[in-house]
Amino acid sequence: MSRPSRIHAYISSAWRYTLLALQSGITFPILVLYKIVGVFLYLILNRFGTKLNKYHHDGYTTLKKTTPQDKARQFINKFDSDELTLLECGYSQALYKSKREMKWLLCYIQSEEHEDHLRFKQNVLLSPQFVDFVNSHDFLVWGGDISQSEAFQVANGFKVTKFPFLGLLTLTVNSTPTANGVTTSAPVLSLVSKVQGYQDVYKVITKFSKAYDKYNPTLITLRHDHEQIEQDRQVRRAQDEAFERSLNVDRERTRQHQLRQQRERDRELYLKWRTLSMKPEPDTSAKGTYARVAIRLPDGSRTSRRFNKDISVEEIYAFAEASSTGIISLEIPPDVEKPEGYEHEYSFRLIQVMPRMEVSCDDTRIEDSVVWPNGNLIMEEKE
Amino acid sequence: MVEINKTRLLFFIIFMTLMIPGPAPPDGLSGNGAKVQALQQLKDDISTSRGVLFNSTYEQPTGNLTGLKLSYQDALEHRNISLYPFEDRQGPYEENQRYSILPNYVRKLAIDSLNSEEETIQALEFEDEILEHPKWNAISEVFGSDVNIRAESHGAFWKNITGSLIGDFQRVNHTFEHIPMPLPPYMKALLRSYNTNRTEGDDNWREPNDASSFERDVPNFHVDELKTGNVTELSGNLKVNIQNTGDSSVEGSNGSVRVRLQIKMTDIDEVNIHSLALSGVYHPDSGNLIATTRSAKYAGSYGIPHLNFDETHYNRSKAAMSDWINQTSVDEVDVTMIDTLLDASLGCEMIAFLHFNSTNLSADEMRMIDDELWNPLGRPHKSIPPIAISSGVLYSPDCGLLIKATGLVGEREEVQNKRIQRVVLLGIILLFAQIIFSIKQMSATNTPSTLSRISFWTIAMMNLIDGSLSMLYLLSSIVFQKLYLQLAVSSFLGFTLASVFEMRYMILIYTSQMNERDISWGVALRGTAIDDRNNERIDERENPNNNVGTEEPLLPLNQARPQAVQQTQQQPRIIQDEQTVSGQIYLRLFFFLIVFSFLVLNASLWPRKDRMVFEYVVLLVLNSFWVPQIYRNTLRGSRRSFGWDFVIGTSVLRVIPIAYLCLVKNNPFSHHQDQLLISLIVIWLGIQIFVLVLQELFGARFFLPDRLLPKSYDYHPVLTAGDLEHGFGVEHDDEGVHHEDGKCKVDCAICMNEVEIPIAKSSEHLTNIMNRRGYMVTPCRHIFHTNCLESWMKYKLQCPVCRNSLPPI
Amino acid sequence: MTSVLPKGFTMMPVTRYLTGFVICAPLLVSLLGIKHLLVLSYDPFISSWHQYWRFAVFQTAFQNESEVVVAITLLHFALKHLERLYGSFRLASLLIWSSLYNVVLVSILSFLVYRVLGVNLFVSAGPYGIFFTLLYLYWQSTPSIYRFELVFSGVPGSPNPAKLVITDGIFVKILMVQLFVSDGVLNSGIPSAIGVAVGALIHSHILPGKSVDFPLVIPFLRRYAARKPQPTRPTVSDVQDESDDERDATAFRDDEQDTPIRPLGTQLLDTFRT
Repeated sequence: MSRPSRIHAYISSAWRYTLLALQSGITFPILVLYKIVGVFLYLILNRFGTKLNKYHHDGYTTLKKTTPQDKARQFINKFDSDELTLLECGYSQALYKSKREMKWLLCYIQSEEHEDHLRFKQNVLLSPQFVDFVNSHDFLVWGGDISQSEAFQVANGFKVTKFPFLGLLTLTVNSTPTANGVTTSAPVLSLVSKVQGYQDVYKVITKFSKAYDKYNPTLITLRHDHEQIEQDRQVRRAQDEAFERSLNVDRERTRQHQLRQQRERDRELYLKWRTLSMKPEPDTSAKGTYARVAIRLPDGSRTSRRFNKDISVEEIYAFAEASSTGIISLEIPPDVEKPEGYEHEYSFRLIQVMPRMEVSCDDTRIEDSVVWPNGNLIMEEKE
Repeated sequence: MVEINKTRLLFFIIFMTLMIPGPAPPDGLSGNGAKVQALQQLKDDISTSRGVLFNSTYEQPTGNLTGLKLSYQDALEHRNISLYPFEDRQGPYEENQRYSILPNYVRKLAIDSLNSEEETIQALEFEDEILEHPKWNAISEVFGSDVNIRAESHGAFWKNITGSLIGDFQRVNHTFEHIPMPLPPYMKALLRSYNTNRTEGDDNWREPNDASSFERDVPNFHVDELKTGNVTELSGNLKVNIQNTGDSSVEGSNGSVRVRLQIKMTDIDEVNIHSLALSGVYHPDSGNLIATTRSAKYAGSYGIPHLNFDETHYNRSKAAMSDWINQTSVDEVDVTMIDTLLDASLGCEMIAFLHFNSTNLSADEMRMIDDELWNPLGRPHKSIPPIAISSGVLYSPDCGLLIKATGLVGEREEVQNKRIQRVVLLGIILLFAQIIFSIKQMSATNTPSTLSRISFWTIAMMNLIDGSLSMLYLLSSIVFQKLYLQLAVSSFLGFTLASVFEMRYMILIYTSQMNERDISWGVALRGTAIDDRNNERIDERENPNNNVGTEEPLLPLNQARPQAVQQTQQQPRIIQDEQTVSGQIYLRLFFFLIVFSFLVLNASLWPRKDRMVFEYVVLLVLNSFWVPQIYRNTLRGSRRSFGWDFVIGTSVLRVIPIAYLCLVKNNPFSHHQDQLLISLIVIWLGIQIFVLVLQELFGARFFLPDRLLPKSYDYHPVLTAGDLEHGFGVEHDDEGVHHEDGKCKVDCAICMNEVEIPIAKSSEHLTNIMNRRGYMVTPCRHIFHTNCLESWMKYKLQCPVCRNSLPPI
Repeated sequence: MTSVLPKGFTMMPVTRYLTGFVICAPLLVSLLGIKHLLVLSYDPFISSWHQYWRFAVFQTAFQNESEVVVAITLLHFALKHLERLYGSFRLASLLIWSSLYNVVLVSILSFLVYRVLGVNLFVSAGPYGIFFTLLYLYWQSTPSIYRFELVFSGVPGSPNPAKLVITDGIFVKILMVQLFVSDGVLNSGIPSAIGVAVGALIHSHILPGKSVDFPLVIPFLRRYAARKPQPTRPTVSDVQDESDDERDATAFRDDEQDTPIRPLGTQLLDTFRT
């Protein structure tokens, strides 16, 4: 089959062009007219509509200052992609974040009216290879549209001459050899590679990979240094904590010791006071007003005492305690006072022998308790 | 803070103070008493004349105007001018020679020529009188030769006739009666005071006709042969240049305007040139122009109305002239006017009657054309016809000459300017092309070894031509003021080409060839063999003061070494830095440019023969810019220096303007057709280029027999086995040497590949040229591939192995 | 963070050629002496002489060099942004479309005004309409970077002083006004106003211009640009990219001095230094 001749090609293209011209010649004016009518309608309705709005809406318009975060969020909403996660902050915050986390920052500035915009977005930015690249290398991505003031300034700062723009920033160090050896300056975030205009996705990846390979070692070193420093700091912090802890333990122990001593003193004091404040033994003549209680102390000895029937059982306990500790026979100065903040607990139980029943230490009157009129109790240590 | 050179500033201030003139004294007077008096008298005279013009009517005769007091009849009767006014000349004005300055026959001729297309002026009846004039035969020989056929109808006449026309003139071979025109007394007094101040032998100043002779009534003055306007040849070239100066809307003028004419009559060989300045009136309704000169002895302008032959034209002329007079006041007359009038009074006065042919366009179309030419807007108009004068009469009253003007053709001035403009634009394009060629050439030779092949003088000559062209353009931009923009642009381009590009090139060449200044021709042709080089090194060590110090000892000395060493000892060469060099070259170039420009400008005023000789010589010399290059090629033995596109390009570009001037007829610069010149130039250039071609093909010295020159170094010698053993770049006890039959393999140090060298068994064994050409051997006996070493030599002429300097290829 | 566009015309060929054209066209037109062919007014030219080609040609060259200076200043400081915003081909297409619309609208307007109102409109020569179209588009798509206040009060600290709040786009607007009135308010104002109208129409997509390539010319240009062979060896642009990156990798510097100041003679001599 022979190729169609050149004349044929010319004629066919000429025919095509004339058809196209005819088509656009007919449709174009109608389109323009349609659009003009649309504009008029829109204007009219808008004016009408705002008049209506005035009666309904008593709203106020606040001049809400849009923060960079809001602008970033707007942009992300418009960008509308699931694969690529963009930072939701202003540019300077993105720089700060990248610097702090020691990560690469990919800066994307787009121009929506550019002829290559859609093509770039589809084929490069959202292509799986590029997304993989970005995610695998753990880039932070910041995006902006040139119609925003911040992105505009950024583009001018980078001296961008063609959109869409992709810029790769990372921390770099300047090492200059001086007389005292190589001095490295402080790491500064700078642009190491940029892609302006539409390029094939593989080219873009290659370019960025090249820059990545070139500058990543320093970044890794920096990160390593940073981590080292962090680790050191952590170790030190752990040490400090341990020290603190042991210090606390020690302190606790001494405190407990002190408490216990205090408690002992208080107990003695309380016992003395309690003994002092014991009700006097009723006389044997007042029959029927007292109960006779005999207590067998843990060392085998037995004591007994008469208690008034109206007194609580707690008196028996006090007596038992005092007897067992020998305070009962001591001379107690009369100015002993009850120690404050001390709650006494009896470390024993008084149990009736037959039937075996505990006499609990509470406010029950002796008259009501089991030891009326006589009682025989055993003092048992509480475990 | 910029440091100001104080002396330069002072110099500049003094210069400006001297150059800027102080306020000029009023009336241009510089304290000359006689002149002051004469000026006052002149002003009075002019006022009187103006009064006469304003108040005159057609019936009154020409009044009390200088030079017009005597009519032709009065002159025939030899009346005494001091008896003016005469009683029988008081009556109404008659159109004959009793009242008019024109003789009757001249009147008839004038009327005939003015009526040549349409009878606008009624001729009066005096035919018989005329035909009886004794000299009528002589007159009719010249004037009666063509028959005026009046066309049935004609188109419109020109409204505005600014332009130049060229044609021929014929003189009637008879001198007619001279009308005496004495100087007014105040002028005479002034002249006497001049003459007492001037030296005796001053040829330039000739006393005009002595008035006293008139009063003696003896017409015995000597008409000087060289007087301006005194045309002695019988025929020649006539050039008329007309400028419309008046306003055509003056009341009463009906379109008639005042015009200014410049008439130039020359003979064929342009030996005698007569230039006259006239002023007059042009009537657009009939296409007629009447004009006259004016001087101290003849106030012709005020008498123009009466030179029209009927009343209507009289009134129109009067209105036009009155309007002109009203525009200037008498008080503006200054002393230079006196000198102008006096100078003009040395020549013959001339009255001109010219008829401009009608065009075949209608009046509306003519108006459209006129408006468009005056104020271009892009109006649609028909093509502009040329201006033509079919017939004209020139009459000199005081020298008695009668001249017929025939066949004058020309263009409107605007049209002519457009043509020149197109030519200038073509020149601009040519200059652009030259600039491009120069840039390409310069970028092709930016290494010192390629630069050293180029001849300094070739570029210098081209530079000179371009520089003087640029100067000429600049000067002509002052002259042709309408074309200022185009001429300024081409001058600027030419200046850039000359001063920036070519000058840069010249400086480059100069600096890279500076070290050749002291080396003689014979010495420069050879390179050093290594033994001599060693000797030189020893020498250098012994004389550490030798300042042989450029980076590349380009052409080391040979047998002339001892004397060269002596030379360098005597004059330690100062290495000039680029700025000094460039300053020097600039100065010299500008000096030459100025001298040359003046010479050329002066030459344009010489008579034709001298001019042609000058033209031939100068153009042939200027177009031999390849000769220095040929010389240099021979000197250095280099085959090729300039790129071929540059050679052919510039030659063609430089020939094109000369070809235009010589071959195109009616070119705007009025250069005659000269095929001989152009063919000579083309042949001469062709010869030079042909020699260059031959030099490339056959080697630079093909035309010189061998015995005249010392041999230049041969880079492709035949090597024998014996040479190899002597250590020709071959280390002996190594593996690289393979002795096979007839071939040896060595490593080329540049590309690290092997070089195959054919070995001759003995020195008589011939090898073919091809094998020889594949390798090159340096004087220090290192062997390389031809391509490798040649490419290397483009950068530096040093051996890559041992840095011995190499002779140029 | 600056608001100054990058210097030079790297990667902006359309603006480069437009600048060259705006400068060279008036020069050429003067040189060839055809300036009077660019004049346009309805009365003599169109109505009597029917020189309709004037509509097509009047936009070629400015008549005065002061307008050229203002136009070039605008191009250099503002309209370069448009090229990187739209892309080179789209900008070229936009230029052609806008010149076409301007021609059509100017002709319609001058015709209507003459027939209906009897007024003879004189339209200044030069690409006013194109410039104002571009300026309108620039105005719409460029954000303002900063604002500043001019406070008109005698005593500082007085309450409620008269204030004027101006953004940084004022400088471009001043130049726009200068261009608008450069030839007289009506003469140059009319093509400028038409240019603004065309810009508004294009921006709101009523007229095709931003989205549609101009037929025949732009596809041809695209094919021509794509036909350039891709070099296999590393080209100057690749090396330049790398060196750009190298330069960017050092710390940010706002204004770099490229070369030291040299006297004119040295500059001339250095032109061809190898």
